[in-house]
Amino acid sequence: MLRVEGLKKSYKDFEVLKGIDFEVPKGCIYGFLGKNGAGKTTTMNILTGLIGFNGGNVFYDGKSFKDNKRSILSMIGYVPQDPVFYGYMNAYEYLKFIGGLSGMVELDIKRRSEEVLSIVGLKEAAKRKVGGYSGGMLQRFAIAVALFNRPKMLFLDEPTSSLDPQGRMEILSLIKELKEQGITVFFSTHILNDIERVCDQVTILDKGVVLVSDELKALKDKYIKPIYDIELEEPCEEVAAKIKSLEWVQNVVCHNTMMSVYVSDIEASKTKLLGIMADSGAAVISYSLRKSDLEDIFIRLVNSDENL
Amino acid sequence: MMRTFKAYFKKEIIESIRQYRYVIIAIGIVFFAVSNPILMKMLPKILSNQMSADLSSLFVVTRRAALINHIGDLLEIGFLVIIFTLSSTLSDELISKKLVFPYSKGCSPAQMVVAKFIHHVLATSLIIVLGFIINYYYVNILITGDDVPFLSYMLSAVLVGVYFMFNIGMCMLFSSLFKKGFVAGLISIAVSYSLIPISGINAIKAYMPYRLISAATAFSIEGAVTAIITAAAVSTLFIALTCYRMSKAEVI
Ligand SMILES: Nc1ncnc2c1ncn2[C@@H]1O[C@H](COP(=O)(O)OP(=O)(O)OP(=O)(O)O)[C@@H](O)[C@H]1O
Ligand SMILES: [Mg+2]
Repeated sequence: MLRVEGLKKSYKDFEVLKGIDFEVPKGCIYGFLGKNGAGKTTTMNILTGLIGFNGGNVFYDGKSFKDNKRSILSMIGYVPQDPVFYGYMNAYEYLKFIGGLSGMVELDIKRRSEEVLSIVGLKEAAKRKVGGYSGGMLQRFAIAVALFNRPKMLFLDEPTSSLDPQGRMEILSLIKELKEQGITVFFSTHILNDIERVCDQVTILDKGVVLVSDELKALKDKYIKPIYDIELEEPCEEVAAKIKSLEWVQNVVCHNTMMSVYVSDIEASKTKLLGIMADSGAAVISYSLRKSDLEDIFIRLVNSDENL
Repeated sequence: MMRTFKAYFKKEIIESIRQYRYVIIAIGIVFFAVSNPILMKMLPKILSNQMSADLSSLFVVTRRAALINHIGDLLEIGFLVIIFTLSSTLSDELISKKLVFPYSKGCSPAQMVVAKFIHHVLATSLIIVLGFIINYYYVNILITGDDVPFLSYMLSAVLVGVYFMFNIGMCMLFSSLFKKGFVAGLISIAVSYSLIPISGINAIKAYMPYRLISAATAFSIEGAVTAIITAAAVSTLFIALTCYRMSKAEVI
């Protein structure tokens, strides 16, 4: 669907994007993750044609963005981070304006307005002035506007960051619905939980560089390693040495009576570790499995810790 | 083909109604169309209270003088009202990021600029013509002597309209360049006023927009054709530059 190659963008001497590459397959939900100032918004503004770029290439369905800008723009929708509308219009009027710009005919505009407003659940408020909408309503209306001319791909820049938990869930389930309708969704966020909930693929961006870009599952398999935290009554050096020699144990960190066991094979550890502990005769006070999540991966990656 | 033009022309109408732009401009223009003849009517009486009778008889206000006086008023107050109402037409769209959705939907910047320009020129011209009709009516019922034909006065309205078109074009260019509409307005007014003294220079007189006003106050198109053509050409240039600027502007 979308391929980005060596994309670069600078503001004066400040290089915001230092040559990023990634590929978004058709029909997936693509998470774009990064800290504040990582360059997420900049990337999305480029991909939606609002600002130019200084180097690299962008391809939609194999077609170069530079040469086919208008036709490509007509098949994508963008929900910017802080959407702004003509506040003196009501939802119908604004959609009519957008429909007119997109070259839709009157009848289609009417039908589509009803459709998108019910998708985002704004039908009741549709006759009110957009200027009086709450933050969550604006966000939802922005999605309605972006969806209006039936784009094949939708970009959402931090769609959930200004919403309360319920609003976030609503947007996330909306994103899932869009995927079912065959729309490719690309959304940026710094809320890892959102990514874990809905994304198929993730790219982590930091300081204008892509750290990883992979399927969420592969990412988890690759980076998430289970750790057992075991507390003993006695200092644990002896037991630790014994466990360390096991084939499926990667490392054991020992600190007084606390021991952290890094395992490489979760299945083996589940069935065997407890038995080995019991056989060793050590008095175990507590035993728990710490599951590292995307958050850990993210933090470890952006802190450029190679020893994952 | 013309979809951006149509969408923006309609949008400007809705915006001008909802934000009382028409009302503000109409008040700015119609108020003087009415008050000016009333003041002109009272002027000799006010003066006669302060001067000897034979001196005040020199201040006889004729219809012609009243109409000329109205045009003068329009160029001062009405002009300021119009420029400041329109000077944020592009700066506001840019600075408050209102163009993000339209641009991401493939809006044509050139069509948007032309739609705004034509809308603003049409709206102000219509209100100016309305103001002239109202003014003509009041001058005729309040003041006597030295008649000016109605059609000649309408011709003046058109000439004033062309003068405003030139200024609106310039104002839109500044509006696309400056972040604050107020600044764009001030600069437009400064440039426009500084052209007035230059307009006296014989070599360039015929080309200057202020020539249109001289013709309007003479109620004759004579010698103003060059100025009309020049004003139209320069306005087109302003608008072309504005289109270029808006197609390069980063809207986010
Ligand atoms: N117009 C601009 N001029 C100069 N620098 C800019 C401009 N726009 C963005 N930047 C810089 O580029 C960097 C990336 O900004 P960007 O908005 O893309 O970050 P982001 O990942 O979206 O952050 P956030 O999570 O805060 O939205 C920032 O350091 C920012 O200061
Ligand atoms: Mg951002």
